[in-house]
Amino acid sequence: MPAPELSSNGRSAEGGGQRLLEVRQLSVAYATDAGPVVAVDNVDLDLESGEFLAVVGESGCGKSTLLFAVAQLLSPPAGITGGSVLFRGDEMVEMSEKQLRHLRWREYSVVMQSAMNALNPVMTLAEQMRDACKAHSDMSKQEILERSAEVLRLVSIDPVHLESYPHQLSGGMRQRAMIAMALLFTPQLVIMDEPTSALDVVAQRSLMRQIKELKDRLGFAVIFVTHDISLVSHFSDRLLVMYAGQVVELGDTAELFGKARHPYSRALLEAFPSIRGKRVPLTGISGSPPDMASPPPGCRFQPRCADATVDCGSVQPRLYHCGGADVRCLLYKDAAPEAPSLAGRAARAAPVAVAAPAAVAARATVAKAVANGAAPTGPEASGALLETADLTRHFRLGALWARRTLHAVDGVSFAIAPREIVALVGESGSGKSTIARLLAMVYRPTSGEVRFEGRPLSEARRRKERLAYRGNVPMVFQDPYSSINSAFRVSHGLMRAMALHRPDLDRAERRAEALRVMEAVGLTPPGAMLAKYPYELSGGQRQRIGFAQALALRPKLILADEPVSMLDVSIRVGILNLMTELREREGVSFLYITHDLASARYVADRVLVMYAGHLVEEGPAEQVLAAPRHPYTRLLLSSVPDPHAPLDESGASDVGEPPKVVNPGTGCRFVPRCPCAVERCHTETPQLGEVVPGHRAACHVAAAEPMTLGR
Amino acid sequence: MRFVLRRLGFFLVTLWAAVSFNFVLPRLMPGNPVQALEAEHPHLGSQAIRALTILLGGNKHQTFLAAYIQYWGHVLTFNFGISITTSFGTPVRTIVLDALPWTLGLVGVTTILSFVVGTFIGLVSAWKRGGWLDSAMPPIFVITSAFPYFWIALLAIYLFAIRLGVLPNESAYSIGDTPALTWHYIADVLDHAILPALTILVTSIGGWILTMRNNVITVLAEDYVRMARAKGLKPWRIMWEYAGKNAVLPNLTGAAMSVGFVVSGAILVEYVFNYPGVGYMLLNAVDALDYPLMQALFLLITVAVLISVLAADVLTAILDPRTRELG
Amino acid sequence: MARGQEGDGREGAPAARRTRPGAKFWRALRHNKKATAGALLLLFFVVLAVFPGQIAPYNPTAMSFQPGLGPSAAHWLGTTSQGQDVYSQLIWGARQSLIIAFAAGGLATFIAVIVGVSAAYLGGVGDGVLSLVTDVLLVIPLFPLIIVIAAYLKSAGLTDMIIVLGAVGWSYGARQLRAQVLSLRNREFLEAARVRGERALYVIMVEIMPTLTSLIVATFLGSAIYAVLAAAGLQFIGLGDPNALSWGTMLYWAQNDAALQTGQPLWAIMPGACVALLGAAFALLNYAFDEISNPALRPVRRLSRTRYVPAYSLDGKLLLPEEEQLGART
Repeated sequence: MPAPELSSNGRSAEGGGQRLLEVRQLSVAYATDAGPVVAVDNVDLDLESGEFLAVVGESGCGKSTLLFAVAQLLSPPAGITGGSVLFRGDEMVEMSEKQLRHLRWREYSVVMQSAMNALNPVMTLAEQMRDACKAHSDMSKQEILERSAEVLRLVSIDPVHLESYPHQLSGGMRQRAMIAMALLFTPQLVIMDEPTSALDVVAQRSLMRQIKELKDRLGFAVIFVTHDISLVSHFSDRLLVMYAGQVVELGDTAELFGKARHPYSRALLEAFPSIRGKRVPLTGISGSPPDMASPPPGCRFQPRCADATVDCGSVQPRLYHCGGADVRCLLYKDAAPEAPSLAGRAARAAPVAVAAPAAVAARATVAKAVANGAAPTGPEASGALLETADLTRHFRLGALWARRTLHAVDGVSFAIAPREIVALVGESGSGKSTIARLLAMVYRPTSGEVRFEGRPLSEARRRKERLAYRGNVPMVFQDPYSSINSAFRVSHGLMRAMALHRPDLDRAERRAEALRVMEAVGLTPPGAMLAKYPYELSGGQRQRIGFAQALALRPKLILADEPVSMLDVSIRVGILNLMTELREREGVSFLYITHDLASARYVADRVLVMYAGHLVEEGPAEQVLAAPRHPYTRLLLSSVPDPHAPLDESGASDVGEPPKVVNPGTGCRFVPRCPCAVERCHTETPQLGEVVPGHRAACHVAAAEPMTLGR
Repeated sequence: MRFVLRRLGFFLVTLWAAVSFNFVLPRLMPGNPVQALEAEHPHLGSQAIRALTILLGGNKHQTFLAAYIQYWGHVLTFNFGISITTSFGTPVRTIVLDALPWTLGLVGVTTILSFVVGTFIGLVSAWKRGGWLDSAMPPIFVITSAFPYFWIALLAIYLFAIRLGVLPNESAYSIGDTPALTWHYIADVLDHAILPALTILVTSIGGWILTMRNNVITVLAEDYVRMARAKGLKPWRIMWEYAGKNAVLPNLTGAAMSVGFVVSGAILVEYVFNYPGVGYMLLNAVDALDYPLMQALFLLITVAVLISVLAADVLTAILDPRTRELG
Repeated sequence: MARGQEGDGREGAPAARRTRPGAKFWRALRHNKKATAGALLLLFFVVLAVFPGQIAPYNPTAMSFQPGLGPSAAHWLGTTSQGQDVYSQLIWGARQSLIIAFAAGGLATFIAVIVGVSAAYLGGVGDGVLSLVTDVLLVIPLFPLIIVIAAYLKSAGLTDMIIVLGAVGWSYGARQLRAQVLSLRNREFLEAARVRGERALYVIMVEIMPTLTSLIVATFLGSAIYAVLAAAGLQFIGLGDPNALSWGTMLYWAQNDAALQTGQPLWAIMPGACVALLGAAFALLNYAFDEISNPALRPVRRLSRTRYVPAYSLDGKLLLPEEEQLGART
């Protein structure tokens, strides 16, 4: 076979007007000890050439399983139990591995979630590309090399990296290299399984743009799986919403974003905070997807659905055609062309599942907090609860004879007032987690100081004093699956915390207090929840336990280190709301560490932005995000998906990453990625300077001409 | 490269530990071994006694450090004096060098063979998951890997040498045969090597099969194997380049650590078959309380094991780009 | 940051766990054939070791029979060239092997836990030193080392043997335990305990130890195998107490008196078989443990091969009414 040409493939006509992909009643089951468990249930979907179809849903909804079933890549214990997958009219389910091999990579390719795991660690990129080329063509060595370099350039990677091993590339580059590999033969279809979810916001956004751009240029179709519905708003043509193994809604993306029909789609759309406009209280989705070993009878979403009627508990809805979309919801049984008015309908039918009273109350407090709008005025007005002065932490790397110094945090000063929520924002590697650990006394500062209620931490030398501080400033961790010891019941961590920090309480009092904090974080009934083992809980519930453990100490400030980044988008809002609620009810301050500006805007009074160990901008959340001064903040902001605004083209070409700051010189660390760097930026480190009262930025350009940087 | 240098450093530390151990042990034991030997072998010359004192201690006029340095001098020149018992008066060096080729030929070749074949079987059995090979292998080899080498050796002798009488049961070649590069002699040597070699092979191969099988199963669950399938590669290529290569890396480290175990077993096999290798010599030396010979043989075995560990490390570094860099 | 755990294509695999992990583990162990076989075998030897007097027909040391007898009804396995009953010796020999297995294995495991856990927990220089010692001991060929030690000791009694085997046999376990604790170090629950202000000893004993249970058991089983085989080997080559009642010593005498060549193969082969079976018992348990704690190793489950039937005509969707769907679902 000849080397494929790098042009928009004109093969769409080949199939004689056939659809590129037709999936009919596809079902997948997993073999388990208790018999087969259905993971994908009778899914139908069509895909035209050049189309971008997004498949969204929470984890555990079967979307990745569907994807691998379509690609014929399932392996035991999973298997296709019925249905068909027609690729340009050819039945793939019945094909032998040998027949499939001829289609693979040439006709359709796959991009996986984590390139770190999907690239062979012991082969260079060139070798892995050569493998694929040799399997499907008789290209010469030279041709293969040229082709490999060409596809790498497509995704903005220098072809010198052909000789690199996967571990030598950064996360973003690995992911792009995998996409390059998928395009070796410019296939008709590229199947992508959450290819961006392991990346930081900026890298995520630039990768999405790149995928879209390549798709438009080369004409391949895309099936794109993600749990983050906001991510695909500007990129996909059609959207398939999956729940509990079934398609619950399938329609045009733009229409679905404007007017989602299925209550689940609507809930997904309302689950993430917006980056601009009014701050509206969100509710998220309570509960978690059903256990597929015993799905609820009737509508599978019914137990979590606010609009459920009595019928929903017993009748299984099928897909009803409604307007331009297919919806699996009894509300649309009579195929009303428009979405019925939900408020009126809710009054008509007795809701089956009533939101827990706590949740309703929570919604009210959040609404109040959000409506208050004008945030507390910050530490300047009310005196600082905790402040840092020139906080610096370096790590020594390398062998004894070749010591290098990693500057994780360099001269950071900020303050947190009582009852204030401060967001610390930055990409991974910016030093924000190091700051959390400095404040939690896991690390000692290399220089600089942390003062709590006016007393420097370095003076707290006795165990008792240190314990007292730890009790005042507990931490909530990022990964709810590893932050709770799975060997013990939920009560263990709570009781230990109180035994250490509140020895004055007796057993009964501790128990009562444990029940109180469980209730406070929305884990009800608290008694039963305390007796559970961590594996019986969902990710969101586990994270709430993290907050309960912190709360049991009667803290003044909770360090929350990316508490939602490992959770599904749909349950993040619940945790964010919990933080605002706890501030209102318990009077706790929060340092909320995140890489997501939208969530920072949603909960925080003030925002601190970090880049490569430096604090580059700080100020009231609304103001910083409405009028960011530092180019980095603007880059972050432009990377936040915003379905309600047109695609922001600034920063579109940014493929940079925060540097590892090893033995740095002077100068602004953002210079290599900065679109507006001037001479001075290379030589002189900018200092934080006030641009507007309360709003400071560390940027020479912003300081000199504050207005040119405005939007 | 840094990785290999680091391993070389480790090699030297281990060697230092083994030599120091040899030095310290006789000096820690109650009584004076040199005097004991003198009493047992009255015709030892004064020169021999001096050499023994350096090796075993007992010189009261010397500081510990001076004795240690002197000891190192002898070790580095591989000067362990003369054998005091087995073949009286022969330099230890000569005895050791005579024994070495037999062991290298028997144990070295069998171990490499066992590793290569075992690894291959493990790979295929895990690749054909659920096949007959995969279902039959684990229970069988779990059991055989716990068998004592010498017992298999005894069984082999009883079965093939005594009951069937088809193979010789001792020594490395027939008595009266003169070592020469003739077909007759080579055939004779091979004939004598079959039973001990089979014994080592049968007992050691199970471990390689099982660890490789487990590694491959773990690797098969990796995304890059699924990716290779998605790329439409031929199955043998996936098995070899993707599953095999990644799975053999931990196995190589395992190999390095297990060589000592195999050598231990091989010593007993040589003993049972009276095979004139290093292990057989070691046991003879122990039996006859020939401390100089014993020390020399122990060091030799340690060095041999260390070299094979180092070889496994170098091979790992060649196959795995990650170790090359991390160092 | 990464949300790597989610949706890896196996996301639909249901987590149908209803019981405590511990209870689940024991159930799995009971259902594992290798574990059952290993446990029964071990139990058999334990019974022999506890009640040899009740089981063995004769006094094992009494040289009261005709020497060199072949198998007969009176002497199932014949007699030794000293005129002792081989069968009785075999039964009495179980005791010493088991004592060595449990005592030396236990000692080695104890040292392995102390060294491995503290190396990982200390980190820095402490870890460097302990790891170096562990690695050195790991590559030094242990059996020759033990032989040399035993040679200086002249002859090793039971206690010497246990101490020597325990003192040199811990390195592999220590290395594995260290690696396991190191991997735990990244688990945030340990950091959480430290941030809470827990003392190091509490973190090690309460938070870390329970998660190491299965590895500690595996270490013990591995050390026990090694101790049984090495002790038998030492006794076989005559470095043990020649008067001891053990399988290794029986082998030594059998080899000394050329039992194989003089028509008493059972005298030489049976003690070896016992050593092999005891080793196999531990090895089976060990492998079963491995299989249970690493689910990937368990025999793979497949869907019963359902034949592919196109459920509808290609021109349109064939949708069942809701009620039928309800009934058709499993």
